[in-house]
Order: sequence, then C-alpha cells, then structure tokens
Amino acid sequence: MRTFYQKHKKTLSLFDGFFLNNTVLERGLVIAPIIVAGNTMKNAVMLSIAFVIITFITVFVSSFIPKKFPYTIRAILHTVLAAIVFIPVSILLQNFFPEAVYKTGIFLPLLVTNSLIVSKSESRFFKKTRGKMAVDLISHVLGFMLVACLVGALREILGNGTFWGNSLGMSETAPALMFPFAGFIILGFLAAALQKFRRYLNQEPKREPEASNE
Amino acid sequence: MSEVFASIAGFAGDYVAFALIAMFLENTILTRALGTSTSLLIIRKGFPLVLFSVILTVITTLSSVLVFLVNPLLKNVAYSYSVTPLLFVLMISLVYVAVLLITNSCFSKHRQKILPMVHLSAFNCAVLGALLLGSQSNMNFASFLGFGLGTGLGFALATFLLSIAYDRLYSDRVPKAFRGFPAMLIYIGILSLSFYGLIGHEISF
Repeated sequence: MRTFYQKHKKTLSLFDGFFLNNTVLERGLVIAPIIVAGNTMKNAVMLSIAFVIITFITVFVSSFIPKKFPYTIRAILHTVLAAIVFIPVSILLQNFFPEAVYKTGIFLPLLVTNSLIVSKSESRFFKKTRGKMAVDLISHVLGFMLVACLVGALREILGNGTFWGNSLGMSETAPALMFPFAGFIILGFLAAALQKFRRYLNQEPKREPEASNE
Repeated sequence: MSEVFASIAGFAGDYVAFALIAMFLENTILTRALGTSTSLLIIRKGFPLVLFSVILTVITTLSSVLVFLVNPLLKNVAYSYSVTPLLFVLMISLVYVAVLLITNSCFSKHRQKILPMVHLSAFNCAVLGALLLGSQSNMNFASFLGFGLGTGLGFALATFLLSIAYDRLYSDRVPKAFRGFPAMLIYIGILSLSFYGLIGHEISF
C-alpha cells in the first residue's frame, strides 16, 4: 500500500481532502456539528447532505466573484450566498428529516459560516483552476461526510444501542458517548489514527537485507 | 425613583446573569464546540488573545443589538427558520463593515495588526451561534446583550485554557500519533467533561 501511495502520490494528492488531508480530522475545521449534533446516524446524514450542497454550490458560485472586489465585500458575498442556498436546502430537509432538523438545533443554520466557505475558499480553492477546484471541493465535502457518518454511527450504536433509530438489542450501552465531550474525545482518537496512517504512508519503505555474495 | 432604580437593577441583573451563563455554563467552545478551529488558529498564529477577544466581543454584542431589533420581524414570516441565517448574516455584515471603518479611522496606526483579527472574528461560528441561541430563547434586551458579551468572554477563557496546554501537547514527549491536534481534541474533551459536570445536564442546542 505504501509503495503504491508513494508511486502515485501526485495523482492521489488531487483527492487528499477526502481522507489524508481530511477537513475534520487533519485540519480541525467544521468540527462543531459533528461533536455536538452528530451523535446519531440520521443527524449525521442530514448534516452531511446540507453541508455538501451548501458548501459546494456556495464555493463554486463564489469563484465567479471578481478578485478585484475588496476582500471584505467578497467575504460578505460568500456568506450571504451560503445563507441564500440554505433556504431551499433547509426546506427540503425539513420535509425529509423533520425530527433530525429539530434535533440538530442551531448546527444546521451554522453551516452557512463553515470554514470551507469563510476562509478556505480564498486561501485554497480559488487558487486552483475551476476543474481542479471542483475535484478538491468534492473530496473535502465527501471527507466531511465520511467522518460525520462514522462518528454518528459509532456514537449511536455504542451510546444508544440503536442504528438509524432501530434498536439493536444491546444489553450494555455507554450513554455518555452522546454528549459533546465524548465527541471531542472520539474525534481525537480518529485524528490520531489518521496521523499514524499518514506517517506510515510517508515513511521510507524498509529494505530487505541484501543476500551476501561471499 | 424606586421604579427607575428597580428597572436598572433588573437590567443589570439579567445582563450579568446571562453573561455569566454564556461564559461558564454554556461556554461557546467547551459546551458547543463553536469557534474551536478559530481558537486553535489564533493560538498557532500567535494573535494577541486579549485583543482578539475584545474584537469578537464587540462584534457579537453589536450584532446582538441589531438582531434583537430585527428578530420580531421574523415571527410572521413563512419559513422563518430558513430565512433567519440570511437576516442574521446581513446584520453581522453591517457590524463587520462598521468595525472595519472604525478601525481604519480611529486605529490607523495599528490597522495591519487589527484587520486580520476583524476578518477572522466576523463570520465566526461563535458569533452566529450566539445570535441564533439568543433569538431562539426569547431573551429580553439585557439578556441578549449579556449573552453576547459572555460569548466573547467565554471564548477568551476557553482559548486561554487551550493555550496553556498548546506547547506541551505539541512537544516531543507526546507519542507521535497523538502529537498536536489529536491530543488537543482529547484535552478539550476532558475540559468539556468538567464543564458538563458543572452544568449536570445536557444543554439545549
């Protein structure tokens, strides 16, 4: 795996926002919805759908805002655009996930000021060509979805003994996993696992000892 | 005279109580994880914590005043839940521009130092989060203002607690896999657990 990674590092780096350079686990961005509201699979899926649509549309459309506008105006336009995209997205989600929208409270509207829109759009995405930006953006939003769903599933199964609201008939659960402090700790362990894996991929492969000719 | 005194005391009481609630019991970082990445960023970049907190508190408090004034307009609007972020973002934008203008005119000597912090503070989850929480709780004016102030001060308190551990958690003495951000998350989790112990129940969000 390491050899394959090192051989294709340049190509794989186009998609590194999905896993190795993950928005949540490596960069520590947009962690609040996962830590507080992402404690069930349904909440995680709903937040992920909203995040994917709002962030992708906003950043992509914002990339057409001329650079000659002052930074302040561009920053305001990015956030206002995200808030406009939020209107149809939230109406749609209220139809499909009415309970989850209620349970995630302020964390759904808060996605309009997420760090990918507010800061990373200018410092990362807009520095690329539009095609590469779209690929990078998709990798990042799907990377968020991956972590949100993983954490949501873990916490719901171990903390509640359910999955997608259905009981799994477990005799023991750890309800504390549903609280924000557990969200921080679980994300910390996942970030450590990713850091370990990234170090492994970037290490020089161990060479086989050469057979002696003597 | 006594009525005036009573109303001033009531205002001050609500103001201080909600500032303390927002600072300790509903700390923006340690109970809702809002502004965590910003907090870590300002520690990493070495921004002056007191100055950043003052800017964040000013923006939150001024935005709270505007939101308190426009919030009643949303009551009769269809899909008010969906429209609320747009209205609040517009209010924050007004405050953002006003703070930039004040910085440029009154603090021109220090503008290079202050401007990056204003940009970072304005569209921060902690600011919008405080406004959304305040509007959902049907707070009065004093409570709304106090909550805005407490959010900024709570952010400063949490960032100070994180900055104490920052160097140690990024040192060579921490195992490589946990060094830096992973250890920091676990540390925030433990701090958050202690705040949860102080509250004793799950807070609404």
